[in-house]
Amino acid sequence: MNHLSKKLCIVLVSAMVAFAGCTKKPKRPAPSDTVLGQGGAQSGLNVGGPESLGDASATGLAQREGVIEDENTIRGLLQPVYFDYDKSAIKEGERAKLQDAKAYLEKNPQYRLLLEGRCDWRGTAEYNMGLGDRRANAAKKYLQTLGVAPAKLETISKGDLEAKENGSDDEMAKDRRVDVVVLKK
Amino acid sequence: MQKLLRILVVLTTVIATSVWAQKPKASTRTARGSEDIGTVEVQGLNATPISITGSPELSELANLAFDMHGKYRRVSSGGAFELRFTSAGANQVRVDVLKGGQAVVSQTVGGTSTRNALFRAADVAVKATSGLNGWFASKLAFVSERSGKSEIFVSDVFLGEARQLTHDNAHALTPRWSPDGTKLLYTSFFKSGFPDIFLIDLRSQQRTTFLSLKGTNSGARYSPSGNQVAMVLSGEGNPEIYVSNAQGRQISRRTRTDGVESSPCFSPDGSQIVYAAEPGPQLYVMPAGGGSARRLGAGISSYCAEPDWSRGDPSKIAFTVRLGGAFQVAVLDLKTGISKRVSQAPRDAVEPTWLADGRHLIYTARAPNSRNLFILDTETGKAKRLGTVQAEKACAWGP
Repeated sequence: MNHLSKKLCIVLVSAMVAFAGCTKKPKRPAPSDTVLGQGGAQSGLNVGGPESLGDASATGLAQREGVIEDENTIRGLLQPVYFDYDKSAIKEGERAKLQDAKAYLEKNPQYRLLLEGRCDWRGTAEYNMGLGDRRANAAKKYLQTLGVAPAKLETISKGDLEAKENGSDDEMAKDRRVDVVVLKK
Repeated sequence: MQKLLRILVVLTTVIATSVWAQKPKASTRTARGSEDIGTVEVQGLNATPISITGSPELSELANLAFDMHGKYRRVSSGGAFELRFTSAGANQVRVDVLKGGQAVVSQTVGGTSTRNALFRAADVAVKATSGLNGWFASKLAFVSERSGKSEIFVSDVFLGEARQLTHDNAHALTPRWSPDGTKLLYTSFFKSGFPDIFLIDLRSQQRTTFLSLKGTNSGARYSPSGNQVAMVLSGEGNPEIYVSNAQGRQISRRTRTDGVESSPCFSPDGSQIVYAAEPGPQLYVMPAGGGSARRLGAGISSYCAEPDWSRGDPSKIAFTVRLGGAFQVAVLDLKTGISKRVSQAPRDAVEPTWLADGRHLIYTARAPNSRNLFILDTETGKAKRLGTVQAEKACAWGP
């Protein structure tokens, strides 16, 4: 156990060192920290069964770029978007919040947005990871229809991992949301 | 409207409960919730009376193990079998299975510790007396918040000899074993802050990033051969099922829908993948190499998720269902096509994972801000809590 924890510490420290030098750019994990290496996953695509992707340019799969660091985020400034139970459609009453988010981006062109999808705790963890993902992507798509460039938008699912447990119906409804987080870098 | 909904939920719960209560006699004497009901003889279900003898510390451990097993009931003497466990040197346990005083099996079994050797010896006794695969020497991988944040641990099946593998201070979920028990795949928000898939090699004690693609990377599970990994990736805009090789390369897509796909799990022969998909979700099965999907186990609930296909009994798939306002574990019998609720957790039973015999499984008993692991005998309905540790999201591996 100690052996492993030491190694993990070393990995963590070297990751921190690697990231320390490039604070301006979006941060990429050092290639040596990933088993994929510099070629990335793209090089491994398009080999497989009948459902495999036929055309690399048609795949949306790409290596992750950047990491989330709390000090580079602004939370609570923009309004969260709420959803109905088990649903991922943007309700009409919630659309103004995303229009506000778009206006904020126009005033602050150096910033980007992180759309963070969440679910209430009544469900199952893996499905809720997917549902949170869909909610975040629904908000992203809506912003894109408003004319926001995809490069300005990141999505993430938190599933039900930070949901309030045993809350009232109203509290549970508040967990079915997408947080609109400002990314300063 | 809210009130009406709540009444509906309550009603549905009552109906679901009363339907359960009308099940045949054999199923009614089940463990209720977290109560330790001790040794219960379940009529008509062939609980085998056994007596356990041998050195005190070994027989005490053997008692703990066999009391968790729904196939047996312990008696002080006069059982169908006497199981004798004695020490046979460092990390070695000798087991004698006696019937009418005559040894039918005698074997000396080695392990990584005396405790492990005893469990292996007890598994020999289970096989000899029931024909079932033993699981006492199985390992668990689980997520626990005993250190404050969710971290990955491994332990024996009774949560003994637990080791903390990660110190990531990050959300982690679904650790899954490689078929040979030497590796774990799990999802964590470690490092990037996004859900990525990590690989722990238990022999070298190394952890590497398995996949860090844009979007959500989650739900990774090995195929029975260990050569492939099924997972859920959302990098193309929607959570879909993908399969890669064991290195996370040669990724190819298996589903193409508008809804959420989750929890892919290979069949024991590796030829098919069962998963949960919207609407519902409901369970679907498709050829592992890709092709059209077929819905499974319709009817038991409008919400069916987290399937786990038994390798001990390939005709069984355990999964989580929503019944009324609660979640419980159900088992689909592929021979009959019938799904049956098997857990009776006071609040929720989620995340079922089969043990090696295709009869027992482990689930997470979920209540507000509380998680506990239970072993459930799906034939008797008897459930027993494992330890007192705040643990969740376990996955079992049997040698």
